[in-house]
Amino acid sequence: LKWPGWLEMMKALDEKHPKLSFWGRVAGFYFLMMVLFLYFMLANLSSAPKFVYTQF
Amino acid sequence: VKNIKAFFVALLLFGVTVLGCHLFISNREDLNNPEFSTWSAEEKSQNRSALMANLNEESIPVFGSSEFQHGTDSPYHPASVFAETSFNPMLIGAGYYQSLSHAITLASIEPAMTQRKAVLLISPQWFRKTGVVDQAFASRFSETLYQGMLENEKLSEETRNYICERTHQLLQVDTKTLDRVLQYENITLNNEESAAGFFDMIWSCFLVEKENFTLTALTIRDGIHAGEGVVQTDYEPDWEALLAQAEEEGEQENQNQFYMDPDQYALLEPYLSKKEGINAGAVNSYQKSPEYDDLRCFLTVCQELDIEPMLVILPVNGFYYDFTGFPQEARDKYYEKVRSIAEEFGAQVADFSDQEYTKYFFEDRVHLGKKGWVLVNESIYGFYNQDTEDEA
Repeated sequence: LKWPGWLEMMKALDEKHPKLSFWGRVAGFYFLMMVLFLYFMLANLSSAPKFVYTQF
Repeated sequence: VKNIKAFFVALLLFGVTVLGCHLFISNREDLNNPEFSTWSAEEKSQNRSALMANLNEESIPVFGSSEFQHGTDSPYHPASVFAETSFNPMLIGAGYYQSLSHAITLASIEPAMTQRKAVLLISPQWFRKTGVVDQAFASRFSETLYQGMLENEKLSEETRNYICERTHQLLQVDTKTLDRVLQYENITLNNEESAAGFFDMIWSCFLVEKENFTLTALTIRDGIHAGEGVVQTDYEPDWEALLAQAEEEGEQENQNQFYMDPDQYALLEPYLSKKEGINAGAVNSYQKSPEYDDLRCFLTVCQELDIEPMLVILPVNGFYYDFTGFPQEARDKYYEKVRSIAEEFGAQVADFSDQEYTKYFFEDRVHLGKKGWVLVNESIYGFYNQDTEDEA
């Protein structure tokens, strides 16, 4: 699900299942934050050319 | 409003997760497990806080390169040989870790060293005309170790300047890291107190967390968990038995002209026709290299930090080098140059240059194999015991 699609889906659940809608939003935001967190934790900070072991 | 509320609840949960991760990682930083010392994952060699936390009163840093990642499952690798002893050699290095990066690491972790000894395994291939290759240096560069080196006040300005200048040269291929390095120098050496200093502190915390995050995942993967510290034992490896075992295993396995391990020979065999005599003109190889000055720098760091070094002079596989035509004279001159540098600094030497033609000394063209590891381990263990004897 893309970002607007996910929010739209939660909006649609608002009336019939307000709790599910709320926790769905929470899960979505949490997922995005975790993706960002893992991206920074695992990112390669070096801008050096990829070192090829056998090159030398 | 609902979105905002949900966002803050998610933020709270996220905060709890990150805090939990942080606490878990922090608890695993000091594993207090001798297995960590001889664990040969490259990421360990770049992680200052983990190296410092896991150095104990029986640890000696042993600096080297790719040999640590070879033969890790064999009974001759330090991980096996020293597993039952109280000695914890802290293996630091991987392919293309050379004198300069080891000088930086030593200066950085020195405050945590109880034993004032260090071992450097020197490979002849380090002394090619270029010295350490810039891309290789950049790929192994650790910002946290570099920051630690800058913070070590025992280092003289001259030595620190040498390390900084060489680092600047080699990091030209990684301008982003070079920019950060220049900023660390400004903040640490020029006491630049500004917003940059604050951000540098935040950045440093992030780097430490990031390194520990990776290392934790790897220790879990490799089954290295919290231990009970130094093994209290009088057990000593039986070097003669190990050597005899290596010889016997070699006789059974290595039926090839270079006395390499059979699987390594099989990898090389298809290219042999191209290798024959290829280095016949290499009369000046290993003679002129910036690596000699980098080695001097490593020894100077030892002197300034009051650390007794032992240089382990590793040979080349004489059978193979003869096959490629690499002149014996060039090899001999190289060994002599390293010996004279060691003498210049009064460093102990474990000289294996006379083992070029020892069968089963090598696993392949250059890496230590069965007998090689036994003899090198014995020399390192002797150096460690010498230390404890002196203290007693």
